[in-house]
Amino acid sequence: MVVNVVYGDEIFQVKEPETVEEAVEGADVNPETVIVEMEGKVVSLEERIEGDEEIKLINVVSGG
Amino acid sequence: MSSECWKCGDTAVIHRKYEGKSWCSEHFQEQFESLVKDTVRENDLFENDDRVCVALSGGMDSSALLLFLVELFEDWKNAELIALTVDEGIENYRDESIEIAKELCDDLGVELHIASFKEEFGKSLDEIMEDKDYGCTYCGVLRRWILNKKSRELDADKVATAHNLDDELQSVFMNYLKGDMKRMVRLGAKPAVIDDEKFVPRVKPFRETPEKEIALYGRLRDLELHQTECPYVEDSLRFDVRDFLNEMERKRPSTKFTALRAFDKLLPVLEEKFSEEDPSIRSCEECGEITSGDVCKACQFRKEI
Ligand SMILES: [Zn+2]
Ligand SMILES: [Zn+2]
Repeated sequence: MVVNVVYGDEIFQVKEPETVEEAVEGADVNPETVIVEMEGKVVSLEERIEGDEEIKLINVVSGG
Repeated sequence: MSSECWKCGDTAVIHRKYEGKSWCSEHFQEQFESLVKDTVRENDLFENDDRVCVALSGGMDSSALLLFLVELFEDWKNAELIALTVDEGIENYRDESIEIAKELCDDLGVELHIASFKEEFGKSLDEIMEDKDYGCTYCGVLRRWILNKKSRELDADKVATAHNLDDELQSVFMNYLKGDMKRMVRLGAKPAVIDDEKFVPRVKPFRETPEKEIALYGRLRDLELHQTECPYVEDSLRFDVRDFLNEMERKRPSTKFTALRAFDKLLPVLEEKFSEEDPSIRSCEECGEITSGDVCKACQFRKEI
């Protein structure tokens, strides 16, 4: 199972993450700095991932 | 399988590691608002008959602040809200967020005023930057100058800014790293007021609210997210401190709250020691705004640009 993590213009492929948090960390992004959406809805970092999902990260840190 | 709200069992939108709880959209928003109200009440940020000017950039934090205050003031019959946007004149950046600010004020029925660098200083930031290498220093000083002058002209009793927990802590650490104790005592939810009729006091209702939660609140309330980065942004000490604090929070949840609480215990001691007893506040010889020297920083910059 592979999860596509979309962050700005970049897409990271993360293998076998069990949770959203693991997918974010797998893309080398600090979970403290993003909000995560799956299928257009905000999800918590604890959300479990079961299939080939795509998740979108929204940067919440000021100044880029 | 989804993580669940500890209150109602609905799908969670956030898991707060620092408190070990997950929240659904509805309960998160309810609790977010109640925490900000606590900050407002505990620090006596507003009076019942205040005319408050919200510094609105069109970014997520200040948009969320305006929305929150509009709803808070629904119960405060004599309090008034207006919004002030400073247009620095940054093409493809500020023009977009000004549109967001206009739309939001239209939706919320708030009177919006726009003041620009071009009008006040004769040059937009884009023009200033044509022969300068760094922008944030100029921009910050000139923006604060406009904010104070305009909000006073608009008869505001206070300026509410959207400074959040992350901004505040970054300032604490930066001042510490630079050894600037005098600037340190100017922090707090309601920084020590300069006792001069020309100074409009500033308040920070989001001071105890993490940046990430404000963004989430704004997203859940359908506020528009303006994500373009300011083209003049510098790789500054603030960013190093910001990244350090976010890394600490990731490894040791609750670090930010603990650090802010520690600073709040320290603040009265620092105030006693470092507040200028009789600050030599006077009027700038050139523009008449308050300054501690003969000529204010904004006027010094005005000559350089
Ligand atoms: Zn709930
Ligand atoms: Zn001046």
